[in-house]
Amino acid sequence: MARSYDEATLTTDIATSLRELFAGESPIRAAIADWAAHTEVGTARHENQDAWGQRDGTFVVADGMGGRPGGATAAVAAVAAALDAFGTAATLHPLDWAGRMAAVNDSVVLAGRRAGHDRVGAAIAVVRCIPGRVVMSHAGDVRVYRLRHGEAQVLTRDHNVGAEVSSAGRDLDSIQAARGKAAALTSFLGAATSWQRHSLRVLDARHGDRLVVCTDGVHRRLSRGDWDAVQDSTDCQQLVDDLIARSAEAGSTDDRTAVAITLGSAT
Amino acid sequence: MTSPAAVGARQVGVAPGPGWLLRRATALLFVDGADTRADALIEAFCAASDASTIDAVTDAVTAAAFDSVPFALVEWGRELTVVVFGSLDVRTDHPSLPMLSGAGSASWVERRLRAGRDTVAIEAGVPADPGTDLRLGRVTAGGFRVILDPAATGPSSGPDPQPSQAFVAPPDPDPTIPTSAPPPPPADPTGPVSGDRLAALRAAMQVHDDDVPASTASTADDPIDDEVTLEPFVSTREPEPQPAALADEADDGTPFVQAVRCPRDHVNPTHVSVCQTCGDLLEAGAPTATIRQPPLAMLDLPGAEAIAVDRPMVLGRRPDHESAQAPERAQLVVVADDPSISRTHLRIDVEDWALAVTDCGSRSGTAIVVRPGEEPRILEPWVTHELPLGARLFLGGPTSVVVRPIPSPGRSRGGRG
Repeated sequence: MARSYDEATLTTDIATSLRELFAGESPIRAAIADWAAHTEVGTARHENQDAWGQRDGTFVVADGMGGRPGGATAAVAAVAAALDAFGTAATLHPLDWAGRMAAVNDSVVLAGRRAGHDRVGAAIAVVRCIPGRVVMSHAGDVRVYRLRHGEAQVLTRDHNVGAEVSSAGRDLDSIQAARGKAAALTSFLGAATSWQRHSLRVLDARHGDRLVVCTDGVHRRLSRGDWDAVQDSTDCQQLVDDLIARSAEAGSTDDRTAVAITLGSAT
Repeated sequence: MTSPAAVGARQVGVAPGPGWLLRRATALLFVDGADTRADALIEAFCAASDASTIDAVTDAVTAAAFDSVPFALVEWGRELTVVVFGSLDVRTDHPSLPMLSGAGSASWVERRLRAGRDTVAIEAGVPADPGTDLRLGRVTAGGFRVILDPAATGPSSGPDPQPSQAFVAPPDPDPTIPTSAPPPPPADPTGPVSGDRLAALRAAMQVHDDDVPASTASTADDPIDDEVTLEPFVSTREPEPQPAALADEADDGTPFVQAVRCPRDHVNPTHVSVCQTCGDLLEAGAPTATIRQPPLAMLDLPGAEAIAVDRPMVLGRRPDHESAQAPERAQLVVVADDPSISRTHLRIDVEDWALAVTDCGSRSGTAIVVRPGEEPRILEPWVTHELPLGARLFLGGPTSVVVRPIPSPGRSRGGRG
């Protein structure tokens, strides 16, 4: 399947990464057996406002908010800054992680201003594969799924009004102020404090687990049947290609991005 | 997937004012101003094909470096799209879009909705005169109200005729109307507005400044409203009706989760294919239900006591909510009077269908053994770790608790501690 890599996406040299993977030199060899990515601009957009990147076992996916011109700027800035902040991070102290996330947020805000946009925003998810563990962090509605034993479990809770109301034990329909805003983000990069509610979690990771990081242009449209169908994908590239195709077939007009990672034996 | 039905415009009401309202077969443009910037938008709207008015108008805004008058653009058909720019509020009776405002934004805001079975009313500016209906063409206006109806038929819901035939931009009308002369009779509101009747209609709608009601104040910027997506907020599928029992339960703050039921009515996470209780297969297309958080596991405590995990928990010698940064509804569990255990040692969280554990900065630390035979892993303080079923947690030393699955019906259960 032809893939369109929009210039707004931070692609890495996959061939180089694969050579490093099997050369035994890269630290990701101990934790990752395979990975792939696929992104497509939505039919209703002029540019792809999703972005993704990978560095030394750290994967970042960002989704620029809304249809504003600054969405792509925010997403690209978020990915670049997150790879710098977390791609080489050795510590996992929550204060340190929060400090680095603050730096990522600042980068997004600054990138927006430099591009002439007064308000920009991006949802983000970071997956860092370290030998022995997988660390996950997110803000917004970019999701992380784990495919294990034929099941696809979502590991992140969307930071939006609908999820917050449900987690508080309230019925969304009973709150008039929340009507029509179920998908509005409550945590995202690009504003003063909204990034502070980012999650940070260490995952139970096993050999053979597949992690999928995807934007809402993908996951909003997929059913359990779709996830069941992709479980038998021979490799990560086929998996992400299939997810993108299925979400488009299901009517998604938004930008669509999926990154898949197969964990190796060192986890 | 069933294609959504197309909608048509049943009526386009007009309010008098100094701006312009233009209507095509499947789109309308309201421009809150009448200078050269407005002309650029009008020209783009008129020149576009029937399916590209949004692109044309937004391109014109971009070409003008966003120096444009406030405007609202509505395009309808299989989907409904509303675009707003500037200090202008568009109000609708669609549950997913009560209001869309361009105030405070450097660019336009856009919202796309899937057309449903009900009519949708969209309005902006000055309240429209209910006795008016702009069928095609252009008219001066201070506001509009369009009613979109899936049952609307007729030429207004079909493709545009050639722009040169139906959309001739009339010459600027003479803005001065002699006050001594009586205004001409109002134009027939049910017929199309053409150039030779424009002056009469404008005269009929001339309004003195003091007759114009105060415009609706724009709402303060709401960061949540900043999120503009192209996905419909309202599912096209009817929501699952909640059982009467849910409505009768006291609201104790127990979160809601999405679940699927097996043929024997056991509840399961939506991602599983086999019932976790009885092993029955779960159909991929089984409907989901919204239920209160069920117990996810049993926690085996020292001394053979076991408790169900259906809410956050704080474990320690003398645990408290504040030290654990836990919600008030969290259950406080006294584990053992062991000096290696901190007063508030760890917190177990229940999030949807998953469990997580966080060491609350304990003095001796917390270790987790996920599967028997594995080396213990020390948890980083205040970093949440996934807590799988079957894991054993060591609280600072030899004292441990085990997280095990809920036993199937028919087996003995541990009592609540």
